[in-house]
Amino acid sequence: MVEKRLTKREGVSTILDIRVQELEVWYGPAKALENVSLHLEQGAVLALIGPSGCGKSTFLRVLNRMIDQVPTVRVKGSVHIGAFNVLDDDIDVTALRRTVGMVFQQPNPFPMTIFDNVAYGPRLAGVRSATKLRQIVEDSLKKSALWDEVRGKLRRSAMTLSGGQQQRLCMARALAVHPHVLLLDEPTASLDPVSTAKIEELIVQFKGRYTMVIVTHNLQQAARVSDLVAFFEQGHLVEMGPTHDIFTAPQERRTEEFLTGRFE
Amino acid sequence: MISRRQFLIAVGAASMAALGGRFSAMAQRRQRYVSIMGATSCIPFVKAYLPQWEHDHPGMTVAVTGGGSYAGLRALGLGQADIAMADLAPPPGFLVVPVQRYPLGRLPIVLVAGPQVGIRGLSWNQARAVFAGDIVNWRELGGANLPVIAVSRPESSGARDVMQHRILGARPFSPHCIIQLSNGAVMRTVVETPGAIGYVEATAPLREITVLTLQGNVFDPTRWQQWPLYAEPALYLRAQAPKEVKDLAAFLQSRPGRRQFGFYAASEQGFVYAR
Amino acid sequence: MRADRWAQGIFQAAFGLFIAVWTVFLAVIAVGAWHFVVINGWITPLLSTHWSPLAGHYGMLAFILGSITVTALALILAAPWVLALAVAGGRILRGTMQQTFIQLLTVFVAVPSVIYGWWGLTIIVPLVRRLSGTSGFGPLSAGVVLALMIVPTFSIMALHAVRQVPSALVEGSLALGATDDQTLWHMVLPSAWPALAQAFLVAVGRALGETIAVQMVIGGQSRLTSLLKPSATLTSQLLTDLALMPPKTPGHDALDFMAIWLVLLMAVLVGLQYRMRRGLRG
Repeated sequence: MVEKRLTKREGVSTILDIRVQELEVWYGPAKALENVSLHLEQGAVLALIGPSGCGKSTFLRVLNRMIDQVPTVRVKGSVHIGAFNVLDDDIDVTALRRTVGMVFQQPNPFPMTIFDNVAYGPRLAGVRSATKLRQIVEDSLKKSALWDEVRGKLRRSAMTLSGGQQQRLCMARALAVHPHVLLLDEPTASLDPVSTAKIEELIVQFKGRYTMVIVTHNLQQAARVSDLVAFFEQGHLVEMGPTHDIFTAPQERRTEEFLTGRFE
Repeated sequence: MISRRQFLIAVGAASMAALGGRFSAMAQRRQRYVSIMGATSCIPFVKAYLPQWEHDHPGMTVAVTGGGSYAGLRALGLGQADIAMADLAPPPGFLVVPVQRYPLGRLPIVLVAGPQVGIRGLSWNQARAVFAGDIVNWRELGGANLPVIAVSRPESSGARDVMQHRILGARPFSPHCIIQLSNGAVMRTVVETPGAIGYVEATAPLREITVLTLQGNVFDPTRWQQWPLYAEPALYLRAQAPKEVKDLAAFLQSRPGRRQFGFYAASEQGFVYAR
Repeated sequence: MRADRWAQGIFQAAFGLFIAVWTVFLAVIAVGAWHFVVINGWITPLLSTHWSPLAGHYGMLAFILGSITVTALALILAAPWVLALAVAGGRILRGTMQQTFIQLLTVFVAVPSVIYGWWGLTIIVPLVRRLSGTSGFGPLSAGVVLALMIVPTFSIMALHAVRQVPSALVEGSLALGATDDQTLWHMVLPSAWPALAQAFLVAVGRALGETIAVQMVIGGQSRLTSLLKPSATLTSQLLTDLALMPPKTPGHDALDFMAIWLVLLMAVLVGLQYRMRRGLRG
């Protein structure tokens, strides 16, 4: 059943747009996001920038409901990703998370072989055929530009890979369940410049194929890879617009101060 | 990492420490220190009178340890204890040094059963048949239709020694007996287990439990002379023991009023040595 | 610099002392066991069930089998329950509830085993008797009592094993669309496995080494014919006959030999676990 759905989705290139309206998030009594509304066209890359604790990671985690892991959290407003009503209590979170993949700040390869890492999602989704799994693993590793480095070593532990390779493995793992949206939470924060460049290359390649939201502290990175930039501050979405416009002519004074380093 | 040399030094130091401990223990015994070891059934009685003796002999310290009759006698033979408490006679050849025996009197042993078994007493022969495993249901003795569950003490027990010699004779205990280590555990087992029978030294209070008559004899603490089943606990010391040790043994032997500990003193009227 | 050297010295001394003390322990037991083997051989006592130490018969097969049976029984009974408790305490309970649960378990670790023995005598043995129609004394009762006795220790260690699984792995699994159950079985438990195995071994050690609680409910006979008939384990018999055969008697060497067997049984288990771990990693 699940496998069938997955198979059907593969061929079709439905890319999904993201619509957020009046989103509010509290952690216990503390408000983390206030009145955030935005629209992201399908296939576009949105970079979230802003000082630490501004709510950009919280925003990201609302999109695939990973925010549910925080016991005291309350979320209000509406979030739609394609046909998914994300904040609906009855939503199939599993289906949502397969559609909306995520890559974390610290590479978090599972303590198993490279092959099993990539096959983890498909296996849980019900893919049993060994041939099919091998195909998915190979495709995913090729998409994340890791295949040439690990072919013939798929039975090695993922822990033997370098940090940059591990992060691309996590990309491949996310791609293996055929998502349409990718959430990237500071994906290069712990990587060296060469590995960072490779990840950025991937993001540029994926443009148009996946709708992507990337949280980053690196403003040059945002400028290099994104189509749109959203600036968050203290839980508010201060400004959002095309990357070029935001970096050259921001509308808000706070945005300008942040971009020119005069912030606080 | 520790080096091989450090390892050897550590091993050497530990063996020196072990030897040193032994020498210092010997030196201590030459000081004013008496150690008593052996049967747990004697401990309450001995402990009750020690403070008085220690008060009369300032500077003397007495240590009391359990471990059972065999352990006490063995420690006496090895010179690790000055006085052994034992409620059984040492088997031939167990002690190689000459010893003196200070009998403490009688310690009655009674057969106990739960009320459900439906009989009030046993003859010597019936008791033997029950503990040897010949009788497997109380029905065979005119009691309830309940399987017999015999509860015994381990071989190290003085009470078991008495049971073996006086009741079972040449027969061994049934291999189906349940073995419990203490009087208390035997009592608890008998109370909790329908059809159980056991034997205990009459030091413990005999509540919730039927004390069986033996060959028509009723156990009555006031007429203890008539009760036929008993251990004869005694203190043993080396014949060449120091004066203080002999004095302590004689003092303990002469204490009256040990009934509250289940002992019936040899000095009480009407007592006749069985051996 | 000097403080550094002092600290180094203390750590080395601690380690040296450990080696020294346990070498002496093992040596004392080994010397006794060696005396025993010289006189009785080592194969006959292991293959015979005739235990009559005062008469010079030292067949301990029944005790070895008894130890293995009772320990296995206890772990089979305890392990699923402990795993469930560990998951409840490590992943489901939160905040004060979790803290209270851990504190309770820690307190229960301190309950002396003789209490479990008494408690087995008054509750487990009558229960087994009612269900089976036998006396109720035997390996089954001993296994149940041991299972209950090891639950607190075993649970605490298993709980910490489950809790130490990095949340990055759990989130990684959930983010791929795994359900909580799938994450538990495919991520949390496999990642916790080495620490769980360590907890399991400690539980085995506790069960294998227990004396008084077992002795009070197993019946104390040198046979193993049924789970419901009186029998004995290496440890319960050691305890029973220690008073009969104090140190420096001929029979005492037999007890040393039994103690060596306990150490060997444990060593085999530790070795097995080590190999399994290596197998998993490779």
